[in-house]
Amino acid sequence: MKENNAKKQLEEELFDESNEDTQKGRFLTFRLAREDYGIEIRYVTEIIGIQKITEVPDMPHFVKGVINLRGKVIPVMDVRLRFNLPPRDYDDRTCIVVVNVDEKSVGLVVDKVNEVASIPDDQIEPPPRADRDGCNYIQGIGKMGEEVKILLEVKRLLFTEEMEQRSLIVE
Amino acid sequence: MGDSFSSDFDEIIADFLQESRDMIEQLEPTIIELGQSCQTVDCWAPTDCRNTACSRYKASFDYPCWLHKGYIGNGDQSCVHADNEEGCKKCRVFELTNGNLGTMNAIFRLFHSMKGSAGFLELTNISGVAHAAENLLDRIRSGKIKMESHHVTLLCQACDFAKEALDHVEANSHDKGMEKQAEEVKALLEKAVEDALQLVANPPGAGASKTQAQPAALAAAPQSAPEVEPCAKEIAAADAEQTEEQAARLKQLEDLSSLISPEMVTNFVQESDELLQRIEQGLLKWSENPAEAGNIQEVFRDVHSIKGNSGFFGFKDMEHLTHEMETVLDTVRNGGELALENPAEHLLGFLDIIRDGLSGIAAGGRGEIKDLDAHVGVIRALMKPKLGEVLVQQGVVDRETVAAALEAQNDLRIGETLVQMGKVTPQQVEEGLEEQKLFKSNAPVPPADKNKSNNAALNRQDIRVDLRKLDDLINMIGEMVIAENMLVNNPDLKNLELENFNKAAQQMGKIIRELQEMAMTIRMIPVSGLFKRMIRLVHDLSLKSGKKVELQLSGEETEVDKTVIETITDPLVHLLRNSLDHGLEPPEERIHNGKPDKGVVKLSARHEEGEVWITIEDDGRGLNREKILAKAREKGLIQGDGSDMPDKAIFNLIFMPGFSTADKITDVSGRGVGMDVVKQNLEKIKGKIEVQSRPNEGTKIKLRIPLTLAIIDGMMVRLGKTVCIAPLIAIREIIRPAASAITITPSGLEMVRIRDRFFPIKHLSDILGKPSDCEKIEDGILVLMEDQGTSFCLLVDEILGQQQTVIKGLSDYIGNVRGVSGCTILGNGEVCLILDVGSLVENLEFGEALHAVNA
Repeated sequence: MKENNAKKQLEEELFDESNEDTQKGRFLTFRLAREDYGIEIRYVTEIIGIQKITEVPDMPHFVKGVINLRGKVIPVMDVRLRFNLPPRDYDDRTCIVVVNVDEKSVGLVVDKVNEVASIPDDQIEPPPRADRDGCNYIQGIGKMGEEVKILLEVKRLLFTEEMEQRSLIVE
Repeated sequence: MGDSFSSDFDEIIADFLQESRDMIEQLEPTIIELGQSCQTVDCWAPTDCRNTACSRYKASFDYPCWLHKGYIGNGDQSCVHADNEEGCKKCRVFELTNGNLGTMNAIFRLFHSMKGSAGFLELTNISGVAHAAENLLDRIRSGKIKMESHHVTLLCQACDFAKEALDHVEANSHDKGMEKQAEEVKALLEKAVEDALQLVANPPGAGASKTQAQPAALAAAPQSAPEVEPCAKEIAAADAEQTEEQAARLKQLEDLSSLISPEMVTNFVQESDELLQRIEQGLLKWSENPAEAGNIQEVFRDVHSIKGNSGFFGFKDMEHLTHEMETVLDTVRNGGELALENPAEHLLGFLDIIRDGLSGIAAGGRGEIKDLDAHVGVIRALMKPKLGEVLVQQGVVDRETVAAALEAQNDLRIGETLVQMGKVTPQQVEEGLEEQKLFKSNAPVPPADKNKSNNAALNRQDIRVDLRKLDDLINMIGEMVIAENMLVNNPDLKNLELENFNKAAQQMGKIIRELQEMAMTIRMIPVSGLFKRMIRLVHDLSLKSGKKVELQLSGEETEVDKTVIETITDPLVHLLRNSLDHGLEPPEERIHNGKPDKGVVKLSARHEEGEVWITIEDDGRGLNREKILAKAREKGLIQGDGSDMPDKAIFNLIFMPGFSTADKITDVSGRGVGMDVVKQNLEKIKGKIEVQSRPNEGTKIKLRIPLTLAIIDGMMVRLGKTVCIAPLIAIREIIRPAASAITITPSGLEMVRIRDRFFPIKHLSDILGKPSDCEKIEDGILVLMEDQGTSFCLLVDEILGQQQTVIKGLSDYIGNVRGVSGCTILGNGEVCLILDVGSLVENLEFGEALHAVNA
């Protein structure tokens, strides 16, 4: 139920996209294993249910393959595998969050989508020092009352060194 | 208001940019062609001159004859080959030295229109440079100065500046900030003019010849012995000269027609059609209000433009007819009277005739006009005949008298003069004047042959479309193909008998296929533009390197996708540079090797095997197998000494990044970057490169590019649960192997024997990293595939059938995947990978060595 709410919320948010300001400080939150994560809403284009993924050979283990998004072929990354979390079978709550960075669309497989939440700047803590080198994709830690959301930097999440290398070959 | 004005202005600028760029593209090769045709000649050689009295006879000068002995400049006018300036300019000597007049005029006109348009848009820097270039050209074409090879370079520089300035204008919609460059180019052009004029003013030892006058005198001596002969000879020579001149003129026509491209003709037709419309409107206005001939000036100018253009294109009949019209209009514009009451009506009739001529040209004709003489007669009749002529016709006086009277005539009317001279009586003059008036009503009416049937051909046939729109259209059609597949192969319809549905589906399939093909052709453009750009490159490079090069182009009309053109521009530049810098030897070395000192580079394009082949071929020293091998060993690119590697594999090494065998790095090439770029760019468009080379005979590099980038015929194959598509064009055979046909070597290499040949086996499961259903090779199916002469067998579980597929890229994020060229969407909406036979073959050839390098 909650997932549908998130979708609806997202649609409303995106409908309002003319106003950049309203998107500021708003995050799409989702769950992976035992933690909640959030990504900036301006990168998100849509949320779709899990569908058949065509595997592509020679890829890093976290790139699951490609899907057909209404005639467009987009790659899909399993965020669990990206974080080296143990894999889990996909079920009907598994979602693909489609993000668009630098005109490139990529699907992110997450366990489930929660909601669109506002986290003001003063509620965001910088990433812990100890974690900074290993996980440079963490933008900050957001606080929502008792809850804690790990806020992710989408660009760094997508463009690992490994993927940069591949892109370089193309260009 | 302001907004609409500025958007209009932007549009005008955009048009101007487009046109100017097209123009420059035409301009460059033409300028270079002109430069190549110009040479220093001794005037007596091409004319076969026997004028022994001439001081230039059998002597050699740097100083051109027409400034010395001819009819231009301050010559002493003793040349026997021309008796006026026009004749002198048409002389072969002039053409050989200063270039063909037609070509010259064409270039001049292009600069002139650039200047005009730029001036109108207040792009003062562009118009200034164009003006300076025009100045130089005008001096050259009128023979005021002599054409030098550095003039060509200067004109090319002007083009370069224009290009740069156009980019600047595109970004800022004005050309401010380009002043410095403009001044530089202008100064150079002006200096060239001045230098050349200086040279003319102070000819280097005018009269003194390079080879001394002595041989000339020697040669002249025996000739002068028989006194009578030279005269006869001279006449004979003059006769010969005349026929030669005719031949030269014919040649000029041919040259000109080769210069005129079909696009130019199309432009001419369109432009003339627009002019005709304007003339028509002008004439109609005039006919409504004959007393007011104010706008005749404009009509006259438009007719004049058509005349000029027709003349330039060599459409004689059109030129003739418009010339006559112009004469009539000129009379009107100068306030003269015409023989008819309403001349506009008659002139309108002629517009239709000119239109017919234009239709003929549009259809590929030469604009011949039927009954031209009759039409011309009718137009001439529009003019009021002169009183003198009327009197002659009446037999009152003869022509000589009138002519004499015309000469004697001062301020008086011709009739009065004749009376004064006592040749005619006043009555006779009266009668003549009566007759002259009568003539008006008797004037013949132009034939009202209104043949409007082929006017349709004149309507504008092209529109400019934003490329993005086209791409969207083509994408949509691709989507439609997929949607059609989804519909026809819908799982819901399985096992149903649907006779009518199938018929309708077939019909739709056919239409969609046609639509797809049509959409593909929209994006196709001929390679001629690309090739023409290379003329400039080769010219510059040959100047820089001091090597003589002839660039031969063929198959320019071959059409390829626009993206292909964009992608292969850089590779072509690199390949040509390589050919010139490394391939071709310096002239001395060529002569030493028994080759002509001028190297030949051939650039050709053609359609073959469903691909476009673009070949660059030179007759230089060829690739050095040993040098490449040594370098490869040094870089550790090959295992062992590689002496048993086939030539093909060795030559392919030059495409490895950073690979260069050049001993020294020139500013042109040698860094080993070029060939790598070539390969990468070609990979982007799924093209392949073939290299052939023979020592001392030359190198031939063939670029093979698929005709369409978007659609292939594919064979669907299955491995376990995965479906893949193999391009049908690479598949030679499909077999179910017998266990006895399979051989496994001790090193684990699997081979299958098909008839008399053995082929290596590749497992699709290895490529995809997925398990196969079959445990043994003989349980599966082998697909024999071939690419560029190398064959192998691909082991799959099952063949599912054939399908036309729309290729989609595998997203930039993923990048290039070895063994996979792209993907497509199947009828059930699933994404399916397309196998890249080329890269599979490559892996076979280089084996693990390449793997190691890439990893």
